[in-house]
Amino acid sequence: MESRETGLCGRLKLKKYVRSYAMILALASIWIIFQAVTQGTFLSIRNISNLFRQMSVVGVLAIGMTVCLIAGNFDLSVGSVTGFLGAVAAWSISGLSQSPMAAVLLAVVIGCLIGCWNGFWIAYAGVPAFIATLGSSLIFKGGLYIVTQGTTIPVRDPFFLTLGQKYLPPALGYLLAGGTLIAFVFFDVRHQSSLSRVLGEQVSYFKRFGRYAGYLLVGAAFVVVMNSYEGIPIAVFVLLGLSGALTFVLAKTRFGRKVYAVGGNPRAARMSGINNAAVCMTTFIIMGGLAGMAGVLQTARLAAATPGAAMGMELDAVASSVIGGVSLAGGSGKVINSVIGALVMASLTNGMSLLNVNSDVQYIVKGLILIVAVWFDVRMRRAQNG
Amino acid sequence: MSAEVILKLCGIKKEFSGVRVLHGIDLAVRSGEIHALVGENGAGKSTLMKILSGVYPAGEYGGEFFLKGAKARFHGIKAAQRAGIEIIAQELELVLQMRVYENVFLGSGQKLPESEMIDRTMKVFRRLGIPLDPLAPVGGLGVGQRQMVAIAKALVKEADVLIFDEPTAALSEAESQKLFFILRELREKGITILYISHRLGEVLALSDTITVLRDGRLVETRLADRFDEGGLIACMIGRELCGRFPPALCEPGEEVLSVRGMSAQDSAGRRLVDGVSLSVRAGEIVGIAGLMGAGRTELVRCIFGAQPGRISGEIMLCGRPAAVSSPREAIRSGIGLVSEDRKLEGLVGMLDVMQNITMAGLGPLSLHGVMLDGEARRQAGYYVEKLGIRCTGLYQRVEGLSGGNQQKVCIAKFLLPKPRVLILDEPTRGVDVGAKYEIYELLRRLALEGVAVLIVSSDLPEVLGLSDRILVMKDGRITGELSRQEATQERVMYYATMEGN
Repeated sequence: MESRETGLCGRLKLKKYVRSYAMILALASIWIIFQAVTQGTFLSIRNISNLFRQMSVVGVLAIGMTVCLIAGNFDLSVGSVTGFLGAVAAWSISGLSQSPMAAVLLAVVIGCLIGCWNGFWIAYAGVPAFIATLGSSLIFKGGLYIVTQGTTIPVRDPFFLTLGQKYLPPALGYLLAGGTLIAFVFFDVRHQSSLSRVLGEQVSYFKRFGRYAGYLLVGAAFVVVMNSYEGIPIAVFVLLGLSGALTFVLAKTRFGRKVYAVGGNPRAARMSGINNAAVCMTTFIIMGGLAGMAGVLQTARLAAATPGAAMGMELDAVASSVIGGVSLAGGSGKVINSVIGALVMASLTNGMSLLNVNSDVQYIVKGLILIVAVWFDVRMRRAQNG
Repeated sequence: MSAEVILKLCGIKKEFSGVRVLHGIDLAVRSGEIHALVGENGAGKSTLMKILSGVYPAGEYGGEFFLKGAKARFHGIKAAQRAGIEIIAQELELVLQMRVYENVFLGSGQKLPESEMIDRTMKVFRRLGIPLDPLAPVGGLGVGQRQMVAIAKALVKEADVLIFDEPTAALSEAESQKLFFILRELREKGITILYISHRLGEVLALSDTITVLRDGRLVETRLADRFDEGGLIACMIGRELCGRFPPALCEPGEEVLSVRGMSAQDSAGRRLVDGVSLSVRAGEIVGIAGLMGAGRTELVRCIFGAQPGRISGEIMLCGRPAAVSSPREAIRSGIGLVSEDRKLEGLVGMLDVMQNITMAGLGPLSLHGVMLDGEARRQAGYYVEKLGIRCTGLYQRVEGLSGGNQQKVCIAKFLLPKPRVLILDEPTRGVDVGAKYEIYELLRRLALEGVAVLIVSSDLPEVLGLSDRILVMKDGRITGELSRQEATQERVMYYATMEGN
């Protein structure tokens, strides 16, 4: 069906555009609505900075979840694990008087080990991810109570708290943004020229410069807004750095290719000589390590580890990814979109809190959003298969 | 033949999001004939049949059609079934957990006591000479038998027009013969049959009338005896094909693949492959023929390390023993297997052409784990060109390609790691005629380049035309070996049905 399929592809492409813009559109309308209802508080410089700081913990989890989801799995234990590792970091500073660097390292390493544990059950023992990670969720909820002894562990180490509460100096913010943009344009130009060498295809200069200008605009706006408060929050900087690294891993490495292949069609991947179990294991290790980082950020932001920390955050992470267009069926998705998804979720939480909406209602709204986002995903896939 | 016209199509048009796939089809189908529809993939056969059977409801297509003189406007499959048109699709819609008679009456709208249902099912089976137990669970039946159940299901609804969409694609030769017998029986009973197939031999043997579609237009409708295979192919693709199978040009070289005493058992302890030994030399194309369930697919999966269960036997590559316990190791040691089901095991549909082609050769295309994108594009581009893969670019998703081009992507995937042995299981299943011959030519070219090629095929003319040597399997063993010169359909069938010992 040559002609039929090109028609179908055209329609799909359109739908894909609609979808990727739908997210931006949703974000914009949420912001506008909250801006109107809160009479300008929501989009105040101070609150925007706050909003980004709040999203950083979920954001770090969402990008890890993205990798798991693309590989066709998911991890329901990340909420508990984040809480547990945040407590471990707090305890190693306050209880064991370790250095903050050691605390961060400890959380990340134990996170990777927990990822190994999850990955072992799922990839090698054949336990469905749903059960294995649900079990882990309970295990580390228990672990969290043991570490915290049911009380709050305060952290006072100033260097550690910097991670969650401090800002990059404004000049450094500009420098980093500028550097990123230049590096980006450099690599894109190289990529485009090699594309045209191999394929004889060329994206028009107009389109390309339009895109560069767009990135410049968004990047500049972000840094200017952040700097007009106190600067880019370090937690946000960490999130952006990790997102960049993970984007590179997924798009440019052998492992990344395998993740998409395994998630898209596990049998075809196996028949192509890919070690599915190892790929799956690695995605969970990445998720675990990121949960460790998220735990650190969470503890640093609150200056304490609490027995209830990060509870239920796995669902925020899944929701962020799905809102960001990562398919629950595996095989497709992008890290950066999940970050935007996390921003959507954080905006809802932040906005509702500003309006003094009770947390019970907040749960209901978030639950509905999760369902609707997944419904949207299912419908998209039906349209593709139909 | 001057029977009345049961189905009359007038200017049927259909488009998908602005792209026209049927350009006004006029067609008359006479009552009680077997009317074959042939054409390349994308010619519009299936679309046309979906219009007739109500899958695309009235209003979604242009033009009109008449059933028994009355204008038909179906708003769904159910309506078409009530009017007497039933489609028996490639994927049979049966409930595997239920018994045969329950399936037969499922959705028939008839409320009958069980004994009555069993009785009527029996009657239909007897009428058509189908040896099936109405009480058997459908899950335990083979594909051919399931098709019989689907036919019975249509008949209890008293369908006048049965549409078959590639019914023999998954059938063995013997099962196909059985199906043809039943189709002829149905014709005797006055039922009209519309028949889509890529296998031109069976179309010519079976049908009364043949209609050829090309690019959404009706090219020709003629009585079957006015066509021969060459003419039919020319009509379908709009040009003559000279020399259907490329000839073998050189003497085969050294032995590349040697398998000794290969056996495989499934988890229930049944022997699927039973002490098979074979060898393939460089530059040689060896075909494995046999009926469904003869263990051909299992054998090649053993060689590729993809067969589960207990495996024994040894594999030698170029005289050296090779430990092949997974596809990964097989690919590393220079074996490739293009499996029989490309959707299930060959392609990742949502990834693009380049990613699919490079999937089995990521190692050499990366440095310290980082992909060398330029090199990957260059290699993928090379194979797209070499195999004539028609796509809009390296970044087109493979799910949008036609069957033939998808198959070429699957082949390209295993050419990229530079295999010494390339195994293809049903290399042209669901591939249209034009692409079929391109694949034949490609395999011959690969052989000339020194690759040892092993093919498994249920399409007898294909095995006979392509192979330098043919191995015939039955019950997990090789029962016969035939050279290109001595191989005929009869001899192959003789070995394929040979009783053990």
